[in-house]
Amino acid sequence: MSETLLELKDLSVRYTTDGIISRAVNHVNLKLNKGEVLGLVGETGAGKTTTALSLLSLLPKYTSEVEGEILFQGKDLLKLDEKEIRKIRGRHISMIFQDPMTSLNPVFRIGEQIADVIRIHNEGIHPQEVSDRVDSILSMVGIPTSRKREFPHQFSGGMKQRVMIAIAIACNPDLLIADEPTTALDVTIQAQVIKMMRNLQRELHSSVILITHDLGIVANFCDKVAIMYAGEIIEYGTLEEIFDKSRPHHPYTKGLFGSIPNINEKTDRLHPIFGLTPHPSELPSGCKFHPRCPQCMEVCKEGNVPVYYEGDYKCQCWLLAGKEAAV
Amino acid sequence: MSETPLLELVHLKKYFDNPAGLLHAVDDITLKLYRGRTLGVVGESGCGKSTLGRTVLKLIESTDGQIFFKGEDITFKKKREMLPYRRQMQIIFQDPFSSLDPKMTVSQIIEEPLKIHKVYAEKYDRENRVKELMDLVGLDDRYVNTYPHELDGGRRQRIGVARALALNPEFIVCDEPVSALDVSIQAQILNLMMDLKDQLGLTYIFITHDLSVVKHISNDILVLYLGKMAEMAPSDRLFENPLHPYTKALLTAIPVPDASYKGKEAEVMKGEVTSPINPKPGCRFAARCPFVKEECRTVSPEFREVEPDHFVACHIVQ
Amino acid sequence: MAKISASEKAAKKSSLKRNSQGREVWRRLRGRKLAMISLGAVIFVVLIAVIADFVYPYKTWAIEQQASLKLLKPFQDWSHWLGCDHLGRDMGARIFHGTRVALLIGIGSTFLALFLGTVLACICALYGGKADLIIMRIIDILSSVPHIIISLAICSGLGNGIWQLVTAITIGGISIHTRMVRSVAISVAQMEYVESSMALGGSAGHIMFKHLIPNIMSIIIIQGASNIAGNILIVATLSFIGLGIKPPRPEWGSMLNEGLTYMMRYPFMVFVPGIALVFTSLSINTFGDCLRDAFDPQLKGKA
Repeated sequence: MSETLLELKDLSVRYTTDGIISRAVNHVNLKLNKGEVLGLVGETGAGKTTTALSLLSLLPKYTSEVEGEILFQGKDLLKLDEKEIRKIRGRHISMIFQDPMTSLNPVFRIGEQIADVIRIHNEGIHPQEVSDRVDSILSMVGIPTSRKREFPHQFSGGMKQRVMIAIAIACNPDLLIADEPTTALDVTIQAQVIKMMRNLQRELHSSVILITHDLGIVANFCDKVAIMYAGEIIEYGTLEEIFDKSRPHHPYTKGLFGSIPNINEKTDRLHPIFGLTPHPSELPSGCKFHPRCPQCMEVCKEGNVPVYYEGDYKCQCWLLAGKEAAV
Repeated sequence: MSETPLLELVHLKKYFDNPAGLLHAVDDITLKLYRGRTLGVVGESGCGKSTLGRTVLKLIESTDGQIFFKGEDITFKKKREMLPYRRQMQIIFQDPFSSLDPKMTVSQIIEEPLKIHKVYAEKYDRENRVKELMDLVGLDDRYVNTYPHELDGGRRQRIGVARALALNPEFIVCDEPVSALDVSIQAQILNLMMDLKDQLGLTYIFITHDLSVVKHISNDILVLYLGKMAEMAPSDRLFENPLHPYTKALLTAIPVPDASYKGKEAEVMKGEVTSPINPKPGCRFAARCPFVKEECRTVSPEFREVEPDHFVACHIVQ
Repeated sequence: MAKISASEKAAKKSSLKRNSQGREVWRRLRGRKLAMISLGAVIFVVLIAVIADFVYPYKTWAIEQQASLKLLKPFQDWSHWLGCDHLGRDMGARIFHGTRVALLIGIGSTFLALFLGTVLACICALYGGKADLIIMRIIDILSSVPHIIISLAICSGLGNGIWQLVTAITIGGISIHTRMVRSVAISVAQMEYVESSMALGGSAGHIMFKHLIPNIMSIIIIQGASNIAGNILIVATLSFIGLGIKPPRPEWGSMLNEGLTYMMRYPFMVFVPGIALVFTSLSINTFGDCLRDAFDPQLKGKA
């Protein structure tokens, strides 16, 4: 059951533009088991999307530098060449992007766009089989098969996102990366899409990495949660561990929960995190969160921050450091 | 209740001519907004909430109906006659990137309204007012001469707020002011807006698609569906006892950040928003409504007061 | 606050010095060799036009003829280093004064056409609807008549001369500029800062001069720079066929025309004005391209 599908070991990504170095992802360690749904939570500039793009080697070649290991089914993806990685993309790992409006090619019929992916990864497949598979995938994502001859502009935002998902799951990938799949959609449509994705995930038993800033969606969909801040995973655990308010947490996680207006609670004022997310080109020393942290101590300002482990749960913070064996 | 409402809309309508037919963006809105209150306007994309905000400010000409500001009919006021009203009503935009002129510095942006209305004769006074405004919205003085693109979303939105406040308006339309921002920044801006309201006695129309945002800031909430008023009630009452099926669906669709909701099958509303172009008679929500009756498809429901201050337009609600 | 973060430092720095776009563009231009060379060439050409009167007083050098110097080849007599034409007029003087005419008409007509085009485009963008429709139909009509024919009609109607030429070329240029600027102005007019200015009570003129024009200025400058050279060539073409500047006023096109007769035996008669023409238009065009790259580095190599 708990077979490891993906493991990131000390993954770092740096961008260089105009001589300025941006450290977008810093020493990320992460494990994802088969059939698991991981929520990657963080704000703009936290390195969520960069992490996801590095899995598919989709980062801009000349301006980015990747270090560490990305073990996917035991193979290090960073050591593969372009041809080998193309076989993995779409077939084993596929991605859903945030904006369904611009991710579809406006001049091809949607059935054709889905069929394309199937044909690329199954050379010499019979046309009839392709069309059968397109039909079955469309019905899986809840689009009437009669609409496969329509063009993207004839679809609404929610329907387009379903098409994107159909393309992503066309080859039954082992890992699906969804980058803010519902941010551009209305709430009622978002609920539909999330429900559909959850059902699909159960049916196909694929692993999912869901990138989002919305803790509500995470609570609805994910098994594991990783909170990212300034390119680091500062807290990781099961959904219950992260959302359990009685446990000690990273101050940033607490801040995130405090900033969301909760529909079930009545408060007069929200509790924002003060200050701003640092730009990846000018990260503070010590704990990256210390300039904004309400519980900042002297030790936080310099040096490495210890990681507190408890089984699979981990949290990178000095506050929890004394509690158990720190590394 | 003999007080004149600050803003009153009577059967306000805005239709757009579209190649495919008449687009009913705002359809028959009647409401009163009293001084110091905040009205949250909630709806999905295409429900006409942004058009409503712009029509109220007369940035778009209305098709039919009347707009009263402080008891005076401003519906047919010409551009020049509107000038004194412009000082009293303002707007804050959603996108902190496109709402600030990239060629202007922070101080130039904030002093634009002061210059248009020639508030201060002396440059010195104007500069002081800009500093005062920046202080009010929590922007550090040293950003006076920076350009907007050098600042982050939260700070840019603060500039937008400062510009709106420059003329001491009484009434501000906030068009999704936080939806383009990160959660932690969102909370900062929401708090700022609530503080400003208390401090300056402002009246807001707060337009958003996010019910959880509006809950904290509004006294009353109006739910729009395809340009029509679906439900209006005091904020608490709407959340405790939503009556319209659409409001109910909106409320259940919001994902709650609580682990106990994991995998729980929330009731998900079927279908999507239909087109607001040449809408059929009957309730606009009929196509998606789980409780739809024959009557709903033929007769438009009347917007009526079911409980004191709680209005709803639905045939099912008794 | 023990430490000031780097971003705050940057903010502090920029609060002292404005990072305006002009500065940024100049910084990028300075970094490119081609840009600097072409800028030097453009300045050189302008300088020639400015000093023409001092080096070669018009009356004595360009008009007065000396029969003894007829068809003097270049580099033989250093006081007439570019030689003399078939009437014994000094070629150098004529080229220098020709530069003045070429630049005057090239820049003048471009400036006028851009100014009118921008005003029309802004009216289209701000008012839309009927105003836009009417202006654009007129522009359509203007642009459906070939440029050369408009110029021909005006020159034959109003006679030859600098101002007639400027008018002719301006009218031809308006349609192109209006279209080009209009498309950009419309997208700027839809930005929320324009709407915000309306909500503040800003008048149409205020919005046009404070928001629209500053935001389309880069397009206008680029458009203008690349248009000057084209207009200089049109002037030369018209003069070459005898419709532009009337002799004895020196003009490159008419000089080329006169040289045609003597081309076989005295090729310098066409080479000298020809090289002047090519050099000027090439340097202005190259500089225009560099300017475009500097304004919009992302466009570089594309389009």
